Amino acid sequence: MQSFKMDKQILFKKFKTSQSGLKSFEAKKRLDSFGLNSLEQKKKKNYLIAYFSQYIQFFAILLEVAGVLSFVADHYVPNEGSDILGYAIFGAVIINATFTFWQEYKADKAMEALLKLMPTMVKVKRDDEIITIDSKFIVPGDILILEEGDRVPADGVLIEQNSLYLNLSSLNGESMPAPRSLIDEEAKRAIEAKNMVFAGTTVVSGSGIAIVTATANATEFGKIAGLTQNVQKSLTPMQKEIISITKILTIIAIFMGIIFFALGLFSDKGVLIASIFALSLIVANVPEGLLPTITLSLSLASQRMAKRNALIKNLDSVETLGSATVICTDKTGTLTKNEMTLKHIYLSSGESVNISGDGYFSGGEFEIENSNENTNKRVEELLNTGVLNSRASIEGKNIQGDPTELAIIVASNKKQLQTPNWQKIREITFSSDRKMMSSIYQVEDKIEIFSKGALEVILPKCSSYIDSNGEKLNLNEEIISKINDKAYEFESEAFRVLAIATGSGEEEANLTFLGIVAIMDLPRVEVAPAIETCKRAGIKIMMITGDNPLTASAIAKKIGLDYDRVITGNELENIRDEELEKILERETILFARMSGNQKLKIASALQNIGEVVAMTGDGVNDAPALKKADIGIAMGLSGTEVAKEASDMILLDDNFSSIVSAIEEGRTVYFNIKKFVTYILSSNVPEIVPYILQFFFKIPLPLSVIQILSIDLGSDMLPGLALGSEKPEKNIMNRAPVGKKEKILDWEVFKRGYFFIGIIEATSAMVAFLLFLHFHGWEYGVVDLNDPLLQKQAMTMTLLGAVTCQLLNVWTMRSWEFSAFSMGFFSNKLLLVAMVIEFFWIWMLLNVEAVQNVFNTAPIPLSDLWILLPFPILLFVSHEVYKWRRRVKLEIVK
Amino acid sequence: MRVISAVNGLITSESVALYALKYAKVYRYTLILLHVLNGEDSEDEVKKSMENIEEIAKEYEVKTERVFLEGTPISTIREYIENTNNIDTLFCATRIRKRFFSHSFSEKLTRTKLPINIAVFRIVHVNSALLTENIVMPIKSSRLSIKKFTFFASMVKAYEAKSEIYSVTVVNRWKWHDIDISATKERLEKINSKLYHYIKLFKLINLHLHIKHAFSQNEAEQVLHHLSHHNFDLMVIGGQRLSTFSRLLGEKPIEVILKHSPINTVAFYPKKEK
Repeated sequence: MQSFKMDKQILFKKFKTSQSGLKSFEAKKRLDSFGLNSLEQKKKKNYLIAYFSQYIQFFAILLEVAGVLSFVADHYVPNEGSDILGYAIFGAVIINATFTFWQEYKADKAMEALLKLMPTMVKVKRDDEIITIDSKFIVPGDILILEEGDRVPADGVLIEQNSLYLNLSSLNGESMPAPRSLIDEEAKRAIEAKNMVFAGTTVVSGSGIAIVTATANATEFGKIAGLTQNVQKSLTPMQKEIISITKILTIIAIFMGIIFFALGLFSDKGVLIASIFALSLIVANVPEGLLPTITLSLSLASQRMAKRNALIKNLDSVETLGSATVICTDKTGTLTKNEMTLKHIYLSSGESVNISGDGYFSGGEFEIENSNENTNKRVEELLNTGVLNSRASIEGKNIQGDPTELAIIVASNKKQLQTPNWQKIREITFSSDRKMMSSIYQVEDKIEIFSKGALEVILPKCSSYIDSNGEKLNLNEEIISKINDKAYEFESEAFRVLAIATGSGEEEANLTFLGIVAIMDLPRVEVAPAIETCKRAGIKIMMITGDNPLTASAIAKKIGLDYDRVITGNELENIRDEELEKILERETILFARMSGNQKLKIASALQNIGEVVAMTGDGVNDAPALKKADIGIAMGLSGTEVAKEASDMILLDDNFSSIVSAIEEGRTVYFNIKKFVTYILSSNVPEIVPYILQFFFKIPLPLSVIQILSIDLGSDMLPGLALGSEKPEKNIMNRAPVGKKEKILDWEVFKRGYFFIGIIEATSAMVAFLLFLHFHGWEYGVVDLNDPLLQKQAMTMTLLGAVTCQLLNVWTMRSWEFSAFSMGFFSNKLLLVAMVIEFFWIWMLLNVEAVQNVFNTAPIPLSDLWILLPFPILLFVSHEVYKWRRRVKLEIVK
Repeated sequence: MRVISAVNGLITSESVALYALKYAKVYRYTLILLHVLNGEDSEDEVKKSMENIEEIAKEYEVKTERVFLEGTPISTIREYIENTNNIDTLFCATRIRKRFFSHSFSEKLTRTKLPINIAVFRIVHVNSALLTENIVMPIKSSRLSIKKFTFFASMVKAYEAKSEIYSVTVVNRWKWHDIDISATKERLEKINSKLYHYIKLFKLINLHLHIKHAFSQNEAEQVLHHLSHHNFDLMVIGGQRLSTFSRLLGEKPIEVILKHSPINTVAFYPKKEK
């Protein structure tokens, strides 16, 4: 026999417990057997593996091979400095790996800290005493005490209950409170049984006592949570990009290495020289600082997003946001405030009252049409009746109870009404069959009943109404018709309509009709502008809600959300996947009456037609869809832990407009990465060209490998990072989403990086090197300089030729399309800091002996430094002209 | 022949004994309710548990015997087993909370070389030991030993349950996007042909067996996902004897499954042949 079909005594025997609860020592033993009552994350990240995996990335492997070859070269031909090159390369690999890992680790830890839950305390009976314990220590057989507002910590069978209602929305998406009973003869499965309580649900009203039958993963909540664990996720666009970038650059590096090794062999340079050349070219081609800069840039972006209420769990998701083409959003709480607001009252005498303000915490004014001296009193009577017949309460920020009741209480507070302190005798509870509730009070020496409910239920129970003079008159057809018309008018605008009545005695009959109230969960004010931004940004928005089509369309209309048609949950069930894909290709749909598990179908269909989907959700049953979507967005305030766990991003304020802000940041990150990849690639050319020239021409060595590493892992890092934290460009939300086929490392990046700016930088470096040598008496053909100082100075000039160009390159690269002057000189603080550090670094290269020894640099006379000036200026001006011509061209195309 | 069930007075060990009872009934074995007096468990609770089990065993017409031993549990049991002939399988429950330096009874048992099969149960639903209708056995691709299959078949027979072999083929993340339809078909056909004789065997003993396939990046998560989707009551998995060192290298799929399974799960350790 299933647990929910057993009677109390059998349950006690089965679970070896009693009315007095478990003995403490028994509970302790059971805790060992069953484990903690918590849904643990199944896969704990192994940081050791994560760290060492940094050493098997493409770039790292390439450098490691180069490092090993350096030591091999040193073994066969010692004292040529190959060992120093080897150490330098391995140093670069370790710095790179540690830095990248550290960024990811920090992001993970920050996330863990944010997700760490406060313990949920629950009441249980143990050793015949009611005690409060952390819910994770609950075990099967515990006797659970449930009261209004409690979160149910485990599955259990009720053995006592008093008007117990649970909010099961986290399990089945149903927001109406579900009544509980002690017996359920009809249920076949535990989840259907009305005499069961379930983990993850909350007690809306009433109280109960239950025997715990299952904890942790064995609960219904735990089972659904398990559904989220294996939705296979594809690689994020960022991961694919990084793979693509590293592959391309690795191929280029290896290709050039092999070519020059072969050339070296065929010429008379010998194997050793050829190998060193090949190695140097590989090192020069690999942008060692690229991966840590990308990680750091994503990490900074996620911090900026957190400030805008979007908490990013996975760094790579930042960039995915920039590619989002569809946002599938919930209505309640995301587009709306999830705070029911009473906006209109229609009194039985025909006066209309409009109430301003929205939500639970705003003030508001009452504007009454056709009022007389009695109207205020009748409004107060109606509100008082509503408040007296309610269980909800608002104390400061502490809100409890049914949302529609809260709306009436808030309206009463706006009117500053004092609720009479009458004694409540009993309550006739609400049920979905009765569609009304009543409270019976002792009012002085009389007994009075206060009722509220659906109009079609309350009205037939009324025999009288209050007219505009405050007189009680018999209800007639004309008045009934007027009330019905008004209710219809409210309902067609998607208001929830409640009728309020009062009467004498304890019976729900012969009541006096007071009026109707129109309540709505209003849209957030920030949503309409955010939707407008999405339209401009080419992002489709699809509302997916559990509400009925009428309410959904009314809200869509209010916020300016366009859609072609409404599809309900039942209709969706009958639409095949292929058919749904065709519909979604053609139309924008508003999905109404949806359950959480249908979201998965929608997300899959959208992804199959090539959309990049951002999907919001809060319940446990939303979790599979959140995991499946390209960006799963969980609600920080109302979301369940399972939804948060399954998501890529958490909205701290549950607000739709925060998603749009996050998308803006995502797009910004995409273009910022493009900018700093171009910036980093630019400096590869002045690193490569000196080697090629030295290979083909009879000139001394212009640049050492350690100097290459000083650019890649030193002077390029901070400015690159500053580019990564550049603010959004002004047209960022006026362009289409970043396409799936758009690559960061596209021809434009190559063109600008390698063939335009790179060539200028290489020219700058070589001109500086050769002119300096020329001014100091060098003649073409002399390869080995006898003066080591001159050799070091010449190499320093090559290095400075590249570094000074990069100093201005970073300024012109601040905008991909617009003028550098439009960005504001002081708007990027990190860039200013980077500049100061860069100048300090150059000063150290020229003046600090210890630095000079490591990086093979030497002081340069001031009179020679002018050589470095023309090329950075040329670079800046020419790139600005390039962008201007591109803007003109794009404008013409537009 | 006999089947041993280790009883310690806890509801989990009582549930395991009921599984042992069902198993014993299939082969008409005697069920030995064994307890090693160790000062930790309440003797009264143990006796009560045994009474409950004996009561049910009577209904199922299974012979039971009580055995109380004294001493260090593992060595005492080993001695008992070595001196007693005709023991088929030892059933016991495992605790989920692990202590690094103090292994659970079941862990110690599976590490000890015993000439019998061991079935270690992780109980999460106290009430499903007699209500089992659906049994599943996940396997990696087509890897299935005769002994594990026999135990699975015995449990299916014991409950006359519906059964399923869930074959999970692991595909790494990088190859996930390149899953090709023809290669997939070939792979599935290969697995099916390897498992075909098991289906035939089931038919011979009048039981129905389903075989389902899944491709996944993570075997353990795929199995847990499958369990969440379906109404299984019991899962049979192959046990893996793990050393302390192998634990240091992170959780193995079997540990993940045992720890997070939403249904009762039995890890079967076949006896080591000499």
